[in-house]
Amino acid sequence: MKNLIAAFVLSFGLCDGDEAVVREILPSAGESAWQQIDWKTDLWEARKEAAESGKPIYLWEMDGHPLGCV
Amino acid sequence: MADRLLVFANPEVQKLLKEKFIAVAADDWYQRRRKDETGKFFWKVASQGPRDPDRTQQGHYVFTATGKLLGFNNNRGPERRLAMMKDALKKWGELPDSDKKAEVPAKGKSDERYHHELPEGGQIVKVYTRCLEERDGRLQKLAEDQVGNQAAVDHLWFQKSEVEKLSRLIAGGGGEIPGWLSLRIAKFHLLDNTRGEPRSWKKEEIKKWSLKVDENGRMSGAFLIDSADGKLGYAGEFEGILAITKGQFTRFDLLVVGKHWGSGTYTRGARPGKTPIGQVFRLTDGKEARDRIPPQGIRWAPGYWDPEE
Repeated sequence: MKNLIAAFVLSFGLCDGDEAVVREILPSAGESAWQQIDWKTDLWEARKEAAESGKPIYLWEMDGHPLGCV
Repeated sequence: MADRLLVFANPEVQKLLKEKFIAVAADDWYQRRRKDETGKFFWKVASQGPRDPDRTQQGHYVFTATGKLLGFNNNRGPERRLAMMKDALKKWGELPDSDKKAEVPAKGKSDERYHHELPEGGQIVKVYTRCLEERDGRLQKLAEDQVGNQAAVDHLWFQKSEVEKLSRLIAGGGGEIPGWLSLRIAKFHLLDNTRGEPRSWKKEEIKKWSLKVDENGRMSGAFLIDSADGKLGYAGEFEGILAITKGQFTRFDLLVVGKHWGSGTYTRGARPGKTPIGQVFRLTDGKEARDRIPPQGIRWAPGYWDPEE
């Protein structure tokens, strides 16, 4: 298997470079700014809160959950 | 994904949403199918919008707790979104009080076919994925103007009994990660979801696989996944560590680095050839609502929990 894998995977040094690669992969602060909004994930609960607080509802609806799928 | 950065990181959009709206996000695949009170309410709203009722209902909606639609759009970019929000707020201001405050009945039983929650005692591992490229002798994220430069996120779910099984495996000296977990990771989580929703892998496409854990919880392995026509695939290596105390993960860190190739129906625009990709699996406590979003691969739940089937 090693030969087969080696044909596709360069030697990325999964020991020495681990932390640097992890930092590259994780979302940056800028990419995470949308999390500063208090997104609800249950439409009915949002409806209840809107009714109690007297605010309209903003629904972000996507195929694949907008907060975690892509 | 683009909306997260282009629209919802915009300070004016954020200020309006925080102060003037109740913000909620949902997966249309579930929402438009569910046959429960939530589904009925959603359709009451969506049927006032411009979407063909036989197709996706995705978009951005503003409406009242009584279900009166005040605004809709599906454009990217903060300017048009802000215009829609401000127009909806103007309509809101003109409504009688009876439309602004309402008695909301109990939700009732959720349609379990289209509503998934983490099983009691279960745990969540976030899965971050990013396209990489080699620059200056090391792997780095793509330049900002390149498609797929953002990190994608999904969630890997565990049942309590599954964590206990892994605990027993480590206590017994370690070995190959059991098939139920290996297949769950391979089929539903070793995916390039940086440009949209990828399809899950088929069992027969997993050509080579090894994922081991030793007596200290260190994980290592390698894999090759390849479609029958060779046009879509992923080969890579694992390195990580997990720790379990009293039947609960206290640590789950797994790094995957490899090469991915090919585009899918909903993941067009892949770079040509076999190109670097990285994934980080990391335990979360699930306290934030966004961390409890079901895994993309759990739409058919039995196939997620028992991928041998």
